Amino acid sequence: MVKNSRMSSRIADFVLYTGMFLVMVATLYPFWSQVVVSLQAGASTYSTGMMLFPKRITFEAYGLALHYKPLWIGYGNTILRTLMGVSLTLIITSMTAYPLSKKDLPFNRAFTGYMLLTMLFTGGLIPNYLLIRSLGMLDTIWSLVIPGMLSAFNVLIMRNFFKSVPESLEESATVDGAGHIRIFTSIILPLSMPVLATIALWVGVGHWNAWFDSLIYINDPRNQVLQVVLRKIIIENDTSNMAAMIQKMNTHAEYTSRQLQSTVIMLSVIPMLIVYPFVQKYFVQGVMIGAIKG
Amino acid sequence: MKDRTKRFKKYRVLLAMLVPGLLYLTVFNYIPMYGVLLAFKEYKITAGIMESPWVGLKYFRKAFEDPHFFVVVKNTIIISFYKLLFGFPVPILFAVLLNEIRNRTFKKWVQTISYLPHFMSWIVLSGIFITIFSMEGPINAIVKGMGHLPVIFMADERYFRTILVSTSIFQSFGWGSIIFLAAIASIDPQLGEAAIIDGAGRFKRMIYITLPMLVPVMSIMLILSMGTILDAGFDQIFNMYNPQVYDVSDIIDTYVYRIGLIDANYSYSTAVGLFKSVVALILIVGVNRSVKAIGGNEHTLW
Amino acid sequence: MNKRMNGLSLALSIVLLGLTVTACSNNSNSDEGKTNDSAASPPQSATASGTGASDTVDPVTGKKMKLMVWSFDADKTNVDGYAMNAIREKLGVDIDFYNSTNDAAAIKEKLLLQIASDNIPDWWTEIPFAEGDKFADQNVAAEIPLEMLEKNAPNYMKWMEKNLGPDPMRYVRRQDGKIYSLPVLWTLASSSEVLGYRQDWLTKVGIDKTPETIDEMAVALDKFRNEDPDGNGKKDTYGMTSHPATDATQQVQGLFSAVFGAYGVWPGATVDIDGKAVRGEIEPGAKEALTTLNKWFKADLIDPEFFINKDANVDDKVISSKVGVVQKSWWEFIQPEAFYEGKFYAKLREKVPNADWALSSGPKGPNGSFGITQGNPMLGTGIQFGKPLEANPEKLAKYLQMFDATSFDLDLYTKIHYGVEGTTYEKKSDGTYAYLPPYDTDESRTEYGIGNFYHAPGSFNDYDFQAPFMTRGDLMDVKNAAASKGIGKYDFMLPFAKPAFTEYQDALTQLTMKTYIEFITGRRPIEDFDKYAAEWKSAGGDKVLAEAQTKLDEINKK
Repeated sequence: MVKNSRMSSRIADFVLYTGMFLVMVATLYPFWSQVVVSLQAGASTYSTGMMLFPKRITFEAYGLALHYKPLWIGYGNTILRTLMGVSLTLIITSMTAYPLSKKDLPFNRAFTGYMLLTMLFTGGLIPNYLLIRSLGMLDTIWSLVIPGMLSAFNVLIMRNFFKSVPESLEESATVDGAGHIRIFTSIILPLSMPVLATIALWVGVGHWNAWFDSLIYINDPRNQVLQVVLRKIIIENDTSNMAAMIQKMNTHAEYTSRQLQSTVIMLSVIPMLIVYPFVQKYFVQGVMIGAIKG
Repeated sequence: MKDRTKRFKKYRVLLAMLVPGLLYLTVFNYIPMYGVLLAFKEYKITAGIMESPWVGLKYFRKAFEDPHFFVVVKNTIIISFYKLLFGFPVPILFAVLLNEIRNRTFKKWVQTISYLPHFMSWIVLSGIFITIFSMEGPINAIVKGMGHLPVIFMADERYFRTILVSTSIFQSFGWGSIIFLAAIASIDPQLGEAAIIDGAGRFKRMIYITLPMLVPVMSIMLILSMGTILDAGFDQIFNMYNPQVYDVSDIIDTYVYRIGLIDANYSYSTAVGLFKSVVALILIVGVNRSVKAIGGNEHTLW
Repeated sequence: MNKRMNGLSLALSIVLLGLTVTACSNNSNSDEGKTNDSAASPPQSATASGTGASDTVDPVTGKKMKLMVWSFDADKTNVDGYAMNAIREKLGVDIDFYNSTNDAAAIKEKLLLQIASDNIPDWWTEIPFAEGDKFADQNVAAEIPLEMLEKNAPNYMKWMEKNLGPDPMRYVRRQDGKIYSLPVLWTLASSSEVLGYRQDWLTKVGIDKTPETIDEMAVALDKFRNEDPDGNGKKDTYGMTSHPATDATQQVQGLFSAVFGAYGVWPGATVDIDGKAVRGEIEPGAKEALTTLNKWFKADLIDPEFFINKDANVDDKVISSKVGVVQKSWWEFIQPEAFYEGKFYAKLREKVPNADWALSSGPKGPNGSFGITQGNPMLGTGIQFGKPLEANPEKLAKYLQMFDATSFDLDLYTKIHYGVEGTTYEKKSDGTYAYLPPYDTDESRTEYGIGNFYHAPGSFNDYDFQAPFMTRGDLMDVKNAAASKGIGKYDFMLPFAKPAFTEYQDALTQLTMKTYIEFITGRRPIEDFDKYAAEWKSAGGDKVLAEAQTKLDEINKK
């Protein structure tokens, strides 16, 4: 019996690991093909088949991009906006979500409804621009960080996790004389690290990849973010873009636009992959409730 | 009445904590909301939104009197529904299975790599998928290997929606699993330990412990996903469709984009956006109510 | 536990740090902004300090007049560099930048937002026609009096007349007889599309002259498919593929235009045929063209995926030698040094060293008709001025002078783009221009302040005038030969307001694309063509035609 179950567990493991390995190979392919193209020299970026290995390796496209000063300004601004955006979002989201996780909070349903409507109805670009302008935030990092700082979606998700913290923990803390703030900071938040990490990841990646707001709100090139700089490189070298082509017809493009495009993808994805393991531990390891209790 | 005063007192700190959030929403979400008035106005750029003349339901009529609008609404709903039906369970399943992997390093690798497609734009992905589904691509190699004639999958109305749904799942399941992994991580490990002592096998623990613990997250994710039900994936479809499959793949967003190419009309696109929001609202309320009705009172939005 | 709290406080302090950093940078920004405005003593003055054209005084502000120049590539421009100083000197004005982006969609969006927030710029350029019309209607754009234009921008007017005939402004004159925009012509558009045959393949399959008729083309396509022209021993080549349009409204034009040209029709474009506005897609000639295409498709000569391809897929197929005939702009088929880019030449040659192209204007049909649908040289409204300038005609005139000088004054043009002879560039013996080191890199040119990124306005490109800058001397013949092949009609309605077209274009395009592909692939019998034509007319096509006819009569009457 015991032997049997161990045997079936082995088979299950085998199936599981093989399956996951295949999933890994499949999801890696699009990314890998971009790595290959970004390293491929000259005409070999053009192919009608699958790209598994680079034919002639070159780092030229990376060299071109990395020597480009605005790229570093872009990285700086993007890192700043991501850090600020994530921190501000976590603070205000958790502050809003915690009270709403109390079922008997007065007007809880009204507050929730008030929030929910913002998820569905938006005023569109023009009123938002006028608001940002009248608040004097144009051309500052605030125009990138403040709008969208608090989203109903994140609050509702977080509220749900807060709700799942066992009430007994809070009760015993109350008995010990802890107030709401203490309970929030020393029990609820530490126990909710997985959801905080999740939201931090969502918001962080959102900020990292955002470009439209910066394109609209930022004029000064010194305040421009990474994705706008990267788009600029692509547009500049994109010969199917008529407007761009007419403007620079007498400068010869040296790189195939697709090679630059894939290089640009790498430049934007790789930093995220480097940072990711630090965030990942919060939902791979789990929370030690015992540690809190003790 | 007295109870409420008591509750006010009890929660005064928490109510104060709520103030910044509510203020924020008022300033950054509610104040700009006058923009939806554009749906009922003829936008004049120098006059601004408030001073532009009213045109009533002109743009709603324009949408609803257009026979093609119903085609695109239908396609949007069908594609969205399929994406939800097949796409919703995949990240959950993935998270649960991933949780069963005991080799930490392997687990981390699988997880990290499963996100990667999320970071690829649809311009890039569509190029790759067009190659994969092309006459010379690997799928057709299999088809030919089985002795059949190759198929132009991307041009076939029978397959196109399936391709849309499956490639969209491929792109997003890894990223979508994060929230479920977070929920799994929040499960008290003592529960699992207790179950092991009771002699529950892995499969049983998965079914009786992990999955039930995920129900609250699943239910809220399901309800919230109604909010975007009429966004069937503009970037994906725009980069993948072709005239042969318009009938099954033209959605609201691609249509509004195309008719705005020559003469972008803020009022019309605002009207269509408003229509989408109202549908989303109705669906959210409806699904929330259904969840409540089947006894998931704890897991609803309100 | 403690560790986690540390994390939180770390996050908090990062926020605070962020606040102070940005606060500082804000201050410095606004300060620099101010110095920028009053930049009176540029570092590399193009003039000996103080001399130069007499300063122009702005009658409204009473100070030295300040003109604005667009910088769409902020990282490649220098407001106090050589080019800007050359303009300052030439016109006796002050100059500053409007910073924007190189993303065409965003340029438009930002402009709309600027105007909506009552912040109308002095001028703007290349806005789609529909927007430009709205600006004129809604009192955003200033009127440009014709006399002022003739007086201050004579070279521009000459260039327009050269390309559009007398009274070139008839294309932009509105109902009330007033002009609100300076059209920008991209003269290449009307003669850019050609049909390229792989010359090395023709040689390999034993065809010794470029196919001229539709029958000769059929023979070439057949051999390209069946006689292994790339010599790899596999039957993996197709005769031709179609050229997808990046712009969804031009999809129909991209569909084997050369074959339709052989039957004298121009689907997807409203063309003027002897004073009649015609849409080729419903003409009998189209039926013949579709019959031919269907025959070729059945014989497996056409890439079966022709309608799925995106731009990138076509590039792949051409450059990896999967198709032998393709339509594209002529400069893609010749050496990059001959004009611009030469993608199908340079990239293909890296893979197939002896690859070459034979260019054609499309096959001749039974009646001797031929051609490929071209683009209307008027791409957008062109330049418009902000309404406030109406009250300041001196400034408006000065802008016109600046536009005229930067585009057509050889000396100023050279200064802006190339700088100083002997320092930043040299004139080669064959008449072409080359940057001297260290100015052969973008960076050092930016620092010096010269290059192609100064939009003052940079929109009026007379390519005859610019030829020595673009073409290597020994390639001039190659360029001229290739450029002469782009022949065909174009959509004359592009610049005009066309409400009926706007309303029905999408439905009509979808209908045509779907039905045409079905005809070509044989999913629908070609006998249904008349049914399709009737459906096209009733789906709004007759209104589109009527609208175009009215406009055409109006133009031809004048």
